[in-house]
Amino acid sequence: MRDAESLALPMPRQRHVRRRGDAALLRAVERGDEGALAELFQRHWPAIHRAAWLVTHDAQAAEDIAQEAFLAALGRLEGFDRRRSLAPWLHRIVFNRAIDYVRARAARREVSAEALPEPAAEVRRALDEETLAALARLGPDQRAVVVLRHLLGYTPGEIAALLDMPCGTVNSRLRRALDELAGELGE
Amino acid sequence: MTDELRDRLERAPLPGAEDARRRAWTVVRGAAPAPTARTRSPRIVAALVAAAAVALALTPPGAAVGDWVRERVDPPEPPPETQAKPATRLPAPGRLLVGDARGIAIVAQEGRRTALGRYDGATWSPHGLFVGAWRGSRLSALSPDGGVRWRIAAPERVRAARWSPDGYRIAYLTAAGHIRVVAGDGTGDRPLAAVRGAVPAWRPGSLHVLAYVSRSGRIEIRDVDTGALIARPHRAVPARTRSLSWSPGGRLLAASGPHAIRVYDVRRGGSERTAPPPGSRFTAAAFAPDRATLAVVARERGRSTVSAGREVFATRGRIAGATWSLDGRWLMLDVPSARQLIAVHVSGAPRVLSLPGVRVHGWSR
Repeated sequence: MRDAESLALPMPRQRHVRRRGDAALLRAVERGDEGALAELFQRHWPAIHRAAWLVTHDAQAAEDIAQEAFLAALGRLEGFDRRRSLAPWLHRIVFNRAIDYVRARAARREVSAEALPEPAAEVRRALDEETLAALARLGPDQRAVVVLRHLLGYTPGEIAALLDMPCGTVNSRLRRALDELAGELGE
Repeated sequence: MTDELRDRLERAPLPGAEDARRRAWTVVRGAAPAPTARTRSPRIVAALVAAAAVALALTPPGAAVGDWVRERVDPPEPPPETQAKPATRLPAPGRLLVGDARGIAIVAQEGRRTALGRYDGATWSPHGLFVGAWRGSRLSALSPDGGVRWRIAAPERVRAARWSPDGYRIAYLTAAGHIRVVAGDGTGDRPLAAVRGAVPAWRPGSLHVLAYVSRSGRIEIRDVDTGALIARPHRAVPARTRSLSWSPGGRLLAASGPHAIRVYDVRRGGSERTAPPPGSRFTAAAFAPDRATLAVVARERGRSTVSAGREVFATRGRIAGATWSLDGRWLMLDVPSARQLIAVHVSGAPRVLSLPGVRVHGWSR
């Protein structure tokens, strides 16, 4: 209930007992159905926003990147293959932009790796702090594969397809990233 | 390790998540495809054709306004979207002067904000070396770090100010309906004219020539140094004209009110009036800085539409103002209800970004 209220939208009607797939929602969006757009937004926004945040460690950039991904997807609905799920399409846009952003930021030397923006202190817990700090010490590509694999549940093969890289590279980056994280987190 | 890692990733605090989601939803909802399958409504088409007729009547073929007309009658297809830059940066070169409840701030291209203090409004000097800012009856010139260079006490509350193209004059409008002019160093404050409420506009390409709406409802274009009246077009401005905007060459002057826009050809004489579609009203209009394209914001039945040669954006939010980027490729829209600014790519690939803020006061180098 809180989600719909926060979006200032009416709750989806109770007759929608069966969860509609992305393809049906996209067709409805094209017909101007705002409820369908809200459902798509609520379904995908949390994951892409969190993923962008975990890769960039920059709240403003994460919001912009996730928002742009959604807008880019909306702008290309006509070319979207409805037999496929929307999520990988969105994730591809988000991760490519997030990695580009982190690389560009490093190139501009705006902030050092040690000085990456951190979340507000009052909402941090020690465990999460450790995880974020350990993740921040990984390179952007390693962060991306960790988030794709362990937050979003993609297989290495799917990650390879999303990021346009060989499956072997994904596996090696994952292995190295997990080793480094385990070392950082003392496990 | 892996299950615990997933838990930790899901649990890791995301600063401002709710606010971010609310802002994003506002933008996404506003950018949703219209049920009319991306075609313009007949009413908007009618308005655009009417606007084209304005330009046709005003100018000979081949003139600069011809481009404006051609863009409206035969809009180019937008090219496919290219990879967007992260929106933490401004989408176009330069610096943005923005305002919100906290006051006025400069946003640099990489997104860094420099607060200038609590002011009611602000305007750039022509080269972006200073900011003119006002609060109550105080008018100040600030350096971009917020330092006060000079400050004067106006005889009435200041409503708006504009810096002349060469930087040596500032014209300001008071709440009581007077225009006063002060030198760029804060000296020589003097009255110029009694006016209606529209914010005056300096003519591009001229040193100290100012357009304003006189108490009789007519445009007056005057050299503020000599007092010479350069032009006073015969036709009155539309009722409740709020803004004046010059085309970059200083030939066309658009006076926009909620129920009409009148475009004056100051060089050749004559003007044409364009009304919005029935049931709608104009909320903003501004000429591009590099061509005679007029961006027009119209509101109809709870929906705002932005046109700049073609329809470029629509949203349910109320758009209070439109400011062009220096390169004429982006429009920055004020959406006060959403407490954010929306940047719309006007030429080329369709892109929409959002930035925190309530009102844009200007874009500078």
